Amino acid sequence: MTDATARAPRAPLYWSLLLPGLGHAVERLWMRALVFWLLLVPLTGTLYAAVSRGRLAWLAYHASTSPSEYWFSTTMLFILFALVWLFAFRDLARRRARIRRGEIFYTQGYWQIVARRFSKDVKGIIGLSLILITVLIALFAPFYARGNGLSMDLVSFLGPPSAAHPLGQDNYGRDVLDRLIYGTRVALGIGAVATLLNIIFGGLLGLIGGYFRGISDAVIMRGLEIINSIPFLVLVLLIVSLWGSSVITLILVLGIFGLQPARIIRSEVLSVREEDYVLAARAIGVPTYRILYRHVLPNAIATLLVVTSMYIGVNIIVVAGLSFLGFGVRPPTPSWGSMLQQAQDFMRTAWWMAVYPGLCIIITVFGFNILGDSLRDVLDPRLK
Amino acid sequence: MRRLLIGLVVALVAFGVAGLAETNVPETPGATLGGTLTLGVGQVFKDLDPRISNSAYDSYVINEVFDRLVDFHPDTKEIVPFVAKSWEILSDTVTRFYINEGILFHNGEPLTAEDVAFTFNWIADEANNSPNMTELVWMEEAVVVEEYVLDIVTKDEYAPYAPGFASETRAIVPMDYVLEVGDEAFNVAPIGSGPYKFVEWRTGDRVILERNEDYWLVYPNLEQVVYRPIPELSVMMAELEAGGIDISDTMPATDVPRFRGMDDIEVMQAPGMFYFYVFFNLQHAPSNDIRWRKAVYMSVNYDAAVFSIFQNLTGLRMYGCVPEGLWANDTEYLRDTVALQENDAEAKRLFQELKDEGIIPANYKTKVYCPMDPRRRQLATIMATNLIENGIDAEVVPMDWATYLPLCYRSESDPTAADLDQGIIGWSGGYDPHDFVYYMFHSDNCTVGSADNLCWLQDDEVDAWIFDADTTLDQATREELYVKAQRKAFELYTNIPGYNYIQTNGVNTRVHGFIVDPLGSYLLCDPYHNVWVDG
Amino acid sequence: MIAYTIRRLAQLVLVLFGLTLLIFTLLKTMPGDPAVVMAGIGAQLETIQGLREQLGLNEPLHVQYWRLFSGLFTGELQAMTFRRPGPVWNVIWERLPATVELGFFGLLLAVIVSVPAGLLSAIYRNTPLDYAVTTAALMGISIPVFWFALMMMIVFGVFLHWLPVSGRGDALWGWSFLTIDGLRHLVIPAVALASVQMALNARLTRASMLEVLRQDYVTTARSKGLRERVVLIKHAFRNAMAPVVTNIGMQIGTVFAGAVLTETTTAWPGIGRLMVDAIMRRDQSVVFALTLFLGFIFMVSFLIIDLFYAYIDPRITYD
Repeated sequence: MTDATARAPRAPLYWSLLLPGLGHAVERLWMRALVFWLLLVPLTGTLYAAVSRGRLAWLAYHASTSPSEYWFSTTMLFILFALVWLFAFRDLARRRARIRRGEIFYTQGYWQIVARRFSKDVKGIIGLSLILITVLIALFAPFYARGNGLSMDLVSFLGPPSAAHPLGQDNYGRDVLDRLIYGTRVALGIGAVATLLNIIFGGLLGLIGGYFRGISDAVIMRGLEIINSIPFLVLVLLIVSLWGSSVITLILVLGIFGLQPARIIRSEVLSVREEDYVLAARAIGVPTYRILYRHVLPNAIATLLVVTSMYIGVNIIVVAGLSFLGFGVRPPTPSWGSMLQQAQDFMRTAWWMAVYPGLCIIITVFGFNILGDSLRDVLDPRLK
Repeated sequence: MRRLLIGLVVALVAFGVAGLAETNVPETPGATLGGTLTLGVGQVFKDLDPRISNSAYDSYVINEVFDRLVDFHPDTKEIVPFVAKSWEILSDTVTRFYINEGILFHNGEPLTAEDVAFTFNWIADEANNSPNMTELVWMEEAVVVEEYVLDIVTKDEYAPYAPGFASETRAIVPMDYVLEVGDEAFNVAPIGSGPYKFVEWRTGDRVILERNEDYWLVYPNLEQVVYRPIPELSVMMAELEAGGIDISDTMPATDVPRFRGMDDIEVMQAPGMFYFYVFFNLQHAPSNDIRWRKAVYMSVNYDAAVFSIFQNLTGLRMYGCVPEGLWANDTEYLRDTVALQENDAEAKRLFQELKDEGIIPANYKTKVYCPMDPRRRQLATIMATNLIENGIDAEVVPMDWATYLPLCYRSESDPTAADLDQGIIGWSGGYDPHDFVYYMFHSDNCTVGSADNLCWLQDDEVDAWIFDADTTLDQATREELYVKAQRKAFELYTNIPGYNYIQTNGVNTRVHGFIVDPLGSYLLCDPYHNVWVDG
Repeated sequence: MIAYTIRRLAQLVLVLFGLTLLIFTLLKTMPGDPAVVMAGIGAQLETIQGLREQLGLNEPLHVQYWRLFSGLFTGELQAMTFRRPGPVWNVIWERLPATVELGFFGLLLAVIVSVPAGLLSAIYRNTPLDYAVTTAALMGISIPVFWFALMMMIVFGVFLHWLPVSGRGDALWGWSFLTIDGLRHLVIPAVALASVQMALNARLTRASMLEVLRQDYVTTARSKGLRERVVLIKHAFRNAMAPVVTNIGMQIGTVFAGAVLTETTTAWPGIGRLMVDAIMRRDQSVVFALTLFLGFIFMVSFLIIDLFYAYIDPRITYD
């Protein structure tokens, strides 16, 4: 043990404080150093874009009319930087602690195995990268976009892709690229939060119904059937007509009424419920919530992850569909679905208005779907 | 000698045969008789009974199946005789109409004063719930004096009612037939005295009319008229291009240059009779403050906005509520003196002033309401974007008519009524300025549940001017009064005038004699038109 | 079996009844007034109020509910569209063939393409064919139906002029696929609708086939020396198809949702668009009738599939 301690210098920690990844490079952990440097690249790029456009908060405050966007993005930027720094530091510190304790560091915990398998799966990497890029664009939209996506040009509009407007202009003269960038926020924001609500709410229902059975199960299942007997789109249309179509309403509607996860969780719970260890726990007298929390839930997490990923994709398309029918986010906020709706009238004269928003939807949803697929392969040992 | 005789006999026979074959010579010079005209209609037909129909689309059919008591001259827009051959103004309250004799309905029954009176009285009767009742609200009753003489009596408080004549361009229905078959049957298979007879209405689809051989006025040139409802504009344009329809009842601005370039389609236009505008809610803050209204006006370059929506191809900016081309429109004064130009600095200053005084609460988000119609939604989006740039958070709220109309009407059941700062809506009228000025600005029209004066202007002076204008028969006086009322209403910036449509029809070159109707209908055969087609 | 059937039927009735209550509550709490729409702009207050009386909108809720509910069965329920109200079933019946046609051909196309693709991709696992099919399938479920329709309209309609841009075209006895013109108009909507179904089906077929190929009896068959083709066709195929067939039946719901969007984009006059229009017009009768109609169709198809499953597989027990 004392031997090992001698070989655990503090130097790499200081290198890591200077720049994440340096510490790992010094320790000859090339893969990890590379990973940290790769994480830093987009953040640095964003910082550069922000500074060169004068968009960091104190500069932006006077430049823009809605400084809150810039504050949000700037704060996120620095938080992410800080997180990368901290994580690099922590990684090295834990490694050092393990060396000093004399443990082997080639661990085989469940999540380590999953992570290793994931890193070998091309599909997963592609999906994750697509999603990360989309998230990055959404978080830092004001830094990447050249305008704010709202400024119109009523004199020369419907322009084709050109140097000034790389993806063309729409019928108000607004830049399509900028609107796509800001549209990411709406798509991801509503999609992600709604899916989270879905999972929480649906998961809870599935958990209760699956575990307790009996009347609660019957009620929940009948309720689900009633809601499922109408096509989801129609149901959402009806409710949005009822509650209006602001962002909050859309999130609530999608979150509460998209209850497929409930069924999936329920079947998962049903199968776990009969396992020996659960029966044993019940026999001993472990309180129900602990059984749920410590035994049932972890097994359901794998399914939950896959389902979340798939459902974000579904919700993004549903939101786009709603906006397309006119029930979505209100103008002038950019959203991919409403951009497609406007493009309909200009099919003949401005095809770029229709092509690019659709491509964005496809790429984003594809990323989530392929990630979900890969997660399912990685988390389920049987299927490979 | 024998050859001469044979020649004579042959000639006689030839004439006789020719006479049998073609007993009718077209009365329009150069016209060909016969053929089918196919017309595109932008919406499915709702009602074919002129007493209850208030849809512009239904009027396409109604104009041909029925005759009107009086009509408008296509150029001067003056009232001219039609079913009524002349009239006398007996007193402030009574106008006497002399009906043409010899007009037959399609079932052979003669048209008499009784039918006219029946039509008018039925509409005016509250019990019948006709949407057209509002146009005859000034009428006391229609009285039959003799078989072909009719008196129309005005209510005392409205006498003498000048705009009344315009509402007398009303289709006449056959009383006996209607009473015999009942209202519902009449609505789906109408009978009138017009140039084209009703043949068939496939519900949700086309209506077919055929020539009325015994039409009293002129011999209609067309053998058959087919109306095809095509709700999708893009489909209608495709049909026009392909020849599936001969005339389209409208055309989007983006298609106009394309059709102008085609050899077999002619794009015909005439200024419309519409008023699309932004109204402010004078009932609550901040829109009841004139500074807010002026600031919203100055935040946007409305000329450029309208241009970007229509490229001046199918719509034009308006500056008052009376369309150009109609008397009393006062466009020059309103454009040069009253209309505000875009002035962002001033707008920001006014908004700031209102914010400082607390009239605009902190974090206020204003809503620009509009219907789902893409053009009004475009205008609303332009407004909202400009408001955001000038420091007021704004969003566009497109609503379907079922929710939008109750909101505009301030229906008590609608809780969002308090939210209404401004909205965009449209209006259409006929050939009398009363149709615009009265409905937009007179306080009579501030009825909760069915208002037309959506800004809720309740100004005694304006009311008095409009009332006087309505109850004088001298056009010059009426014009002066309407102009005064408009000037005051617009100087208060209760409305921001938006645009008027340019009525555009795509017409296949095989069609002749067609003239664009500013009211957007199809006029095929009346004292001034008799449309014919080639081959 | 009989007991199970009866139980499921009872459940069906219960669920449908619950659906009527749900829809009625939604309709009644929605803001918006159909009488105002029917009367049009510029109508008098008395006209609007008269119309409301006529439509029965002022009566107490349970009376309105009863009228809607009973009207469904007696066929007397009137649509709130025209001043001359027409029976709701007529309105629906007129537009039903269009959607049925679209759904049928869309699904047919999807099945014809996806089932062989899925099977082949499972058989030739991990070959480029497999990768191509799986990626295409993943792409397919990521493409919004309306965007795909729009792209086809632009490419094939506007630029190439091969196909008509929108609308339904001529129809023979109400079915447009019986005419050449109708078929041409059917292509773009059907392909758009099929795209998502194709992708889902392909994935499912592949997964199901993979599952079956892993089974012991397949290995046994192979080890017996049977030719691969026989193994596949006689043993694997049929068992793999069972979940696929079930799923196709369940897809009627997604087909309809896709139809709503496709019909709106391509101006196809079916009940999808009718639904959207009716919701916008607050036409309570049409929405009520249409939703129940759809609900009934879905539930009946689920029921038939479940019964079919229960019939062929004696091991399955339901509680």
